[in-house]
Amino acid sequence: MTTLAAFNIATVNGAGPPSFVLSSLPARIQEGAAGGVKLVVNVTNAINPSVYNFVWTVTDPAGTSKTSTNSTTSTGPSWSVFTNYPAAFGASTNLVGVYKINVTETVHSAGASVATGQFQVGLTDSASYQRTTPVLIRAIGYLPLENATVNLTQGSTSVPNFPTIKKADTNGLISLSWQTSVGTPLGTYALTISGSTTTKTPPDSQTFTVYPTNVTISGLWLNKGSIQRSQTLELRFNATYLNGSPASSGTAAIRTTEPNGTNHTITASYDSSLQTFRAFYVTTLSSTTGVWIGTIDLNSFDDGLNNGGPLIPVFTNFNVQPASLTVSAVSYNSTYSSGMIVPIYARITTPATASFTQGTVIATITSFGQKIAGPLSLVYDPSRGEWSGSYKVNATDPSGTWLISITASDGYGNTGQNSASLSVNTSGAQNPAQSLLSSWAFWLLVLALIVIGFGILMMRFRGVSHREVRLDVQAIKHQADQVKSDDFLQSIQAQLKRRAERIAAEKEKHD
Amino acid sequence: MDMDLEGPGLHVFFNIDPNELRFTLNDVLSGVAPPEAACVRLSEKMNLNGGEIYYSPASVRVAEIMRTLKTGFELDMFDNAVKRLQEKFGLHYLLIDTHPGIQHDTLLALGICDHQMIVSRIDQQDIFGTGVMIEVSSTFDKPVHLVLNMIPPRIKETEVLKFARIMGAHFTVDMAGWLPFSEEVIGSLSRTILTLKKPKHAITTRFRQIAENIEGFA
Repeated sequence: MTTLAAFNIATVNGAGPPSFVLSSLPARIQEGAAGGVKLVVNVTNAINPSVYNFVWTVTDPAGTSKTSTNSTTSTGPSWSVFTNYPAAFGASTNLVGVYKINVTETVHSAGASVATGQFQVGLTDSASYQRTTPVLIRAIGYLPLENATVNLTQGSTSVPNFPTIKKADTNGLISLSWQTSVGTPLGTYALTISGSTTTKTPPDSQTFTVYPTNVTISGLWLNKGSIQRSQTLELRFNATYLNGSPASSGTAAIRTTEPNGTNHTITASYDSSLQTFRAFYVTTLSSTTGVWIGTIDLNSFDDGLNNGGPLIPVFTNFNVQPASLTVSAVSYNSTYSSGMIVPIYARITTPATASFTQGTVIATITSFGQKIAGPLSLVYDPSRGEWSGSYKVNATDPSGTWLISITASDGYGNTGQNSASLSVNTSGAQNPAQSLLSSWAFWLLVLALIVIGFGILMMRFRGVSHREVRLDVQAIKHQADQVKSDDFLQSIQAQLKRRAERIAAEKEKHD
Repeated sequence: MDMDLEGPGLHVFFNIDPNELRFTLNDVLSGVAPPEAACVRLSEKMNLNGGEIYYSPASVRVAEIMRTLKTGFELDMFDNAVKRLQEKFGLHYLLIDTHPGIQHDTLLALGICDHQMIVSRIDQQDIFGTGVMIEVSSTFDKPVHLVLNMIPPRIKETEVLKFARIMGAHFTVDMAGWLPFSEEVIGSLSRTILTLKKPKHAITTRFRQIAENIEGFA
């Protein structure tokens, strides 16, 4: 019969014997914490419907056991039953340590244990802390206003300001806090509380651990979003600890990645005057152009106290463009004649204002678009810090104003250009364009152009005065028809019609 | 009456600070104020020797403009307001200055007016709009009068009259006058009533002719 019943139950509920899983919420509390611990048993594959009777036994760290019972009628295959410690047990959580739980069921399990578990009671609000977090300490079970000695040690050494004497309140509660800092020594700490009168068994004693704190980096800022080759890029960031205070020590590795994937690493350090972390990346004339990426990788920051971050990488990007070289050509004050040497000097600098020393620099001499000489290669003179060359004026060269154009370039595509002018007087013919300027024929041509232009203006003026406005009647009527179909317009007309009818009716009535 | 509710500007001519006005035409159209409360007496300010002149301003506050444009267009309310003004002040003429385009406020004014006068420049854009307005007005069966404005000095009067005849041949409209482009009018920067400041100026003479034409409207 019993076997048959078990078979039937298994068939009806369909999934084997009942299962009981115990949990305690939370798994750890402070001494005398309000609300205690909620003990929950989750039941699956329950016999349904049926009465279940649970006996909960909790044994505290002193070995004292307390029991609580409750019954429930299952309404389905899965349900839960709970109780509360210490409220339902007539007990307390005055002692530090592990509280063991045993649950028996008397109806279906003949008083056998169906689930076991435990929860923990401590003096601190957590078993571990990250630096900058306060450690909240709480102990209960002392006499009202009793003095208790609180000691906090790391190894055999007491922490500064410990041991200390704390007086219990009128409920026998002792509470205090210890603020950790970014530099609090890491590791395990031991906390003990002993009353001047009260002796607890086991005594109020526990350990907790202090870990490094995380550093958050919210962004990576640039002094420029775009730089030219040879220029220096400045990257800045601010770092904050968990409690929001700013980090002001340590270093971070920042990775700069070229468009082709090549990585470079620079180090950022704290600038106390600007109160920010700064790093500098110096580009060269051969740096890859395009979009670069700056990255602070995961945990690449260390404040020198073993606190690190960030927990997620921080990115930025910047653009590297070809360098525009600055060419400063020498100016010419004197007039050169045939047989004289025209010196050509140019000081060429990079965008970083450094001398451009390697590359190709050429000069071309022209006069009113006509080439006179060039390209002439200039050479770098380290003693002068300039590129130099020269040209000897020939007797057949044209007189007038010459333009010396100097172009600098290198194999990476960096370029720059500038020019200088000088006066030359030779026995050669004047440049045709220049001679034209001084000829009467040129001025006659200019005069003729002015007259023609004035005539055109007059013609246009008269044209305006005689131009008629075009009256597109068909387009106007088409547009008007669209407006006439407007709802508001028709509403106005309807109201006008009603008003006219009303006036007419009133007049008729009056007559 | 400044019926250009979207961009009122007549207060500038009369040197009135719109922020000092207690009520405006917008309040009248919303039923907040009686029409006579939204009128400013200008007789002394204009140095009138006889008669009275009142000015009904519109609000320059954006929120009130938007409110009126959304809700304040009921013909009966506007018609009653005009009648009440006529009775309160014994008006001979009520000049309603509207928005230049065809908008709800323009159509509302068109609905209650006795005559419509369109002031238009003689350029392609204005004349097209004027033609449309005349055509729309014809559905209300009201006389439409045209004043050509800012005629360039190069254009002779015969050409203006020729254009007016062409307009008259295609649309039911009569020519009420024309105004040449005037440096003085532009130079006054809308800060003064030029006809009062310069009563003997040629442009004043032309305005007077138009006023006499209006007095002759049946």
